[in-house]
Amino acid sequence: MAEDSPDRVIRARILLSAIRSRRAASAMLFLVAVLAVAAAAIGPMFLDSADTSVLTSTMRSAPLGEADLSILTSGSGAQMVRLTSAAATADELGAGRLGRALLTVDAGTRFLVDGQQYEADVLARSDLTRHLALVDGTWPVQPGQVAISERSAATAHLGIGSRVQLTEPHASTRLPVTISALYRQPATENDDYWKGNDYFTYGSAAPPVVALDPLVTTFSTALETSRITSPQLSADIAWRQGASLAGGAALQSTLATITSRLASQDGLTVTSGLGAIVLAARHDDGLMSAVVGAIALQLILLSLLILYAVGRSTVLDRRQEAQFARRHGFPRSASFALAVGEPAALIAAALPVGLVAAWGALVILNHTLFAPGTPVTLSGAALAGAIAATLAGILAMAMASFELWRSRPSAARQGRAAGAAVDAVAVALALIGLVSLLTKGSLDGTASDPVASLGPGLLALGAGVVGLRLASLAIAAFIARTGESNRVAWFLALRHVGRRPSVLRQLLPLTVATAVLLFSVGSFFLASSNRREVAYFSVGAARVATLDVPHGVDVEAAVRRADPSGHEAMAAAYYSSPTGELLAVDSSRLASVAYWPSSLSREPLDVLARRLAPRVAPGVRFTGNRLRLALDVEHGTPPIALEVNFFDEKYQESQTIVVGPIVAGRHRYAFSLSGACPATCRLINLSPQWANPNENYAKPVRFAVTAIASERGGHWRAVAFGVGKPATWQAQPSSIKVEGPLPGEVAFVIPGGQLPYGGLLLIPVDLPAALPGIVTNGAVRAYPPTPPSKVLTLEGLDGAPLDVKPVAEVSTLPLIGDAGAMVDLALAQRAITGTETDTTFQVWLAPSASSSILTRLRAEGITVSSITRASGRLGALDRSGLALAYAVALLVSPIAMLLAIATVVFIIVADGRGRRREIAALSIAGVPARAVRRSLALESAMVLGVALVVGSVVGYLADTLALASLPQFAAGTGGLAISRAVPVVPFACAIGVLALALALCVEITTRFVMRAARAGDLGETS
Amino acid sequence: MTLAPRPTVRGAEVHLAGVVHLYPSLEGDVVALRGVDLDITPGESVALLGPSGAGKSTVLALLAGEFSPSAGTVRIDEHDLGRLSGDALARLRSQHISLIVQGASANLLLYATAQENVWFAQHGARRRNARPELGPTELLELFGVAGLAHRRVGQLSFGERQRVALVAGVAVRPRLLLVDEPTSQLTGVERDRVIDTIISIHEQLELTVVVVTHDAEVAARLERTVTIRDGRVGAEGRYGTEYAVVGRDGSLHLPPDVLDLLPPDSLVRVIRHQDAVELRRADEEAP
Repeated sequence: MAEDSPDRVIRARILLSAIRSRRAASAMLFLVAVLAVAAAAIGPMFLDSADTSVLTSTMRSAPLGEADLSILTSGSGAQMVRLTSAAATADELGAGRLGRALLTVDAGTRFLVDGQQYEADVLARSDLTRHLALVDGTWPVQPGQVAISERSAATAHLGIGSRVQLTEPHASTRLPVTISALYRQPATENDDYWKGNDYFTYGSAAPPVVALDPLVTTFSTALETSRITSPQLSADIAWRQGASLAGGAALQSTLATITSRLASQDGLTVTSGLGAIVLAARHDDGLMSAVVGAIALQLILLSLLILYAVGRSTVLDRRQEAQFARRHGFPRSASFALAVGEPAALIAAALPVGLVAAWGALVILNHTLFAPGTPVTLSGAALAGAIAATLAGILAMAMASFELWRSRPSAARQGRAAGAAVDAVAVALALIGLVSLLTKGSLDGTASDPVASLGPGLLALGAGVVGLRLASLAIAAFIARTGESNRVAWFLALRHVGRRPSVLRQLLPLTVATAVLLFSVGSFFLASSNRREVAYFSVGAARVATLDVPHGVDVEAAVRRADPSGHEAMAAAYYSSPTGELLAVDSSRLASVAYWPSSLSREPLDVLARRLAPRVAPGVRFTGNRLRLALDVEHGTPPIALEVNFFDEKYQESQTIVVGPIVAGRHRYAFSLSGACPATCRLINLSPQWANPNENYAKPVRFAVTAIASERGGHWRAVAFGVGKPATWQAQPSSIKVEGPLPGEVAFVIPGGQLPYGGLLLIPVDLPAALPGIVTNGAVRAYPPTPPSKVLTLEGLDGAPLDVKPVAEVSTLPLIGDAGAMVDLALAQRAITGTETDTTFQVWLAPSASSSILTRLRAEGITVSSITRASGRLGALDRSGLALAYAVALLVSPIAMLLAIATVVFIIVADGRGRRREIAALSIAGVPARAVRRSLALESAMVLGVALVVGSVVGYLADTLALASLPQFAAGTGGLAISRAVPVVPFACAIGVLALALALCVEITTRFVMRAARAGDLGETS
Repeated sequence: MTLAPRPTVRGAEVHLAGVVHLYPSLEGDVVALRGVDLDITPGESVALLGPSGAGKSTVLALLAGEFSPSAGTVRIDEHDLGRLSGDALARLRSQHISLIVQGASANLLLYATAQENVWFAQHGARRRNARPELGPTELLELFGVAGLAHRRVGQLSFGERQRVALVAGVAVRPRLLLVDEPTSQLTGVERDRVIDTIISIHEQLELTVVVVTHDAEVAARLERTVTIRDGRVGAEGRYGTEYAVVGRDGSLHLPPDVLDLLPPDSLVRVIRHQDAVELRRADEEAP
């Protein structure tokens, strides 16, 4: 030291020497301070990034195109100019947040080839040719040129160079076009380019029109269609990747500006689902912020508690300096600076390190936690949080060092009283907090509340203090019992722990950390398991492919053929209507393929599935050009006109053919089906009526069907119609009597008086009176079953009323949610009498399903338009704000736990260093080293064991108390009751790992203390 | 290096009158001092002697203002320590009273150098705007430990540590130096050097020195010895002669070597002569 060194340099040098001389304590203090600062800074930094990530994820997981800005109009070239200009304006107002506009002209047209009418859109779209595969020819560039899909060309017998005249039913003119190319339709329209729009509707039109894929052309040619129709013009503008960095508010503001500017322009409609998406994201964000805030607050407080504990344990090391200062009359301020300066310097040094650590941790975890491209920035709030934690840390150290800077030393009795007072205050605060949470309903489990995440910390604090005090009492009781014990190790260990209650009290951070860690484990694994359940349940199965099924293809049969194993794929169809959703499934495969939580129904799914498909007669089904009925009418019966109603299952049309007159006696009646049944037709009913409307024959008429046959390719084939079997036919009204079962015929006795009026129906029974269905509570509430049949009337796959008889009532159903019913697909399709125009067909695939199933389906002419994966849905949920919150808790709480363990090890080792003389004295007194070692191990095991037991009990209580009220899904679960129970396996594993860690600590601390004792010397008198 | 005498600054005057001190304990209060009367003149060097537990260190601690006496007066110059506020006491310690407790290491920052320790000892005075007359280097040089200036105290021998502790103790040139067992666990040359340092400090700084010791050699080198026995001043020695001390209440603490003649509970008649007082056992007098 140069004599003229400035005071501050000397002070700094002494400070550095002091820090160096107490390396372990200083390092521990610094580490804890870094954690405290990082915990305070990581909260705001995390929330900043998470806000962006949640918004980005919400936008990405929204249905394709939902978040886009769409400008719609219709008309000719002039309107197209307006549309283009509007898109440019939007781009300008979007200030770089909007991507390039995707312009589309789409006009519905028809044309005739060889007398067959075809329906095809004329489609022009930006970059269209880059998203289609050219098979032959050249893409249209000249006016009037179009490209046609390969399969459409084959269907319509067209080729390159073919000319067609486009028109519309009400158009007076025609637009000639020439085919210049053949293309192959895209494998899926479920991507960013096609945005899920269904342009390729090949095979979907109702007969006699045949629907083809669109005729692809240039914008100018497409706009030419305005001569025959009014083409739809649209500009789809996606928000750029990273637009969400500006935050939801900025996006909403931009959207509002664009909408208000463009809405004033004639004929333009601006739509976007962005507003709703941002609202959803904000809701999720709010919940996440509340949970993360509560968790961060607990971690900060825990860090401060640890800091205080470390501070207390280092007081002994610094006491000598404080006494030096006191003996030399340092003023109070100088004593304070001396007592607090060293830890304060370490804590201050931890500020930048903590900030960098928080930033680094988030950068490292960025890809794991956040949506790709989410930035991690050091915000003002993070800096303020870090500074606040630093100041709080210094305050904690000042409190921990109180005895070093107070003017006179305190008596032991005062210290005990102060300890008791601090404990009382902690318990009181915890109680007040818990009671407040309970009375406000935040912990009663009736509704989710993010504030519930404060519960564990409060409970851990209060119960931890009480638990440690009780443990002290228990140890004191053991001390009394072992007064005469000759077990030296137990004798020594109990007395050492029991007579130093301050050591036990310093375990509070470890107890709190244990409880918080177990709560984090519980909440993460519970939420994670529930997310998986919701994801799979909302999709329905591991993968669900939406299908475009050509007319005449039986989707259930096709899927069964594609998956002969019977447990990998299941056909399904759903129909959405204002009365609720109807989900029809292949019930024989339901239990193997669909995701069905066991808690959803009282009975297992396979039992319920069997009830969905009761045994029913197959009905009367036939194929051919002609149908022949053999009828036996009682002699004397006047002539009857008979209406035959049947349903063409391929084109899903009901047909009626009047047969007659039916005369008395046994006769056969053959009639043409008018080309209606090239595929399968199903007899709906026979409806007899007097041929002469004025007939007044009033006697009962016996009317029997003795045979049915259909003719195909010149051959008559018998059609099964349930003859000789019971309950294969029924009649309406009920006054008509169905005889039998009789051998060789199905006979009815019809009151003659009813025949003049018609409307009598003789119906083959191929369906139950009401379809058995698993219905949701919501559907039952909305459409209460009518007594006495207890049948709900919903809408069938064709939109017609469908009676459903509940076989089970559940809170919700896979895919369709909490307002609907699930029925058997075959029965639901048998129940239709109209076209399934709005029905969505799907194939549900089990997790183990082979991809060849879809290939086989494609080979049957079925197009897979999109595939929804439960894993994808789960991925989106995993990126939700609440998932992020629990992930952060799980990541951070073990770090806090490790720190708490390290602190306790440090405290025990520091305490052990001061016991060198005691250990030496024990050796001199003849206590074997092994007994001393065992006693030290027992001491450590006792204190750490107390912390583990108290922490685990408190953790379990906290989980039980708070998990029931923790929010897990910002957007709800669709009625699925999620689990609120403590996840036992992860919880037990966490305790096991903690027990192992603490056992390791026992070994480490014992070794350290024994080594210190061996290395120690009696030295000078202290 | 010599230090210019300060014309107005001398050692402090110490006055203890009827000092009683009790230590509280869970089993009941323990009486450490039962009425100590002691006056030390400014600049005097005094050794406090006595058996362990007699109360020597308690006297020292009371003189340092470590705690207040349960009864009686402890006065340093005009300051009644029992009536001083914490701040006033700290101010007094920063410039006028220095206590060196038993065990040199307890008086030093082991991680700092000797020079830094002396600087640190001056810090309290410096913070009170009282600039020490000599800097650390001069002080270490003055008392013959300049060679240790840049060595970390933790690396020094116990004797060297004690000498540095003594220098640090007088870093602000106090008026009263209180030293507890300076030579315990020291032998030979190291012990002699420590004693020399104490004497040197006393002579050069002209301060009052009170040393608690069991070491007769230390006591012999100081001007006066005061023996504390059973919580009272039992005897005094001046210039090699041992005296019994008559207390302010007239009590006389006899030296142990006369107890075989006058065992406890003896009846004694006090006979006054013109220039002497005779003690005669009642059982030796003629009936």
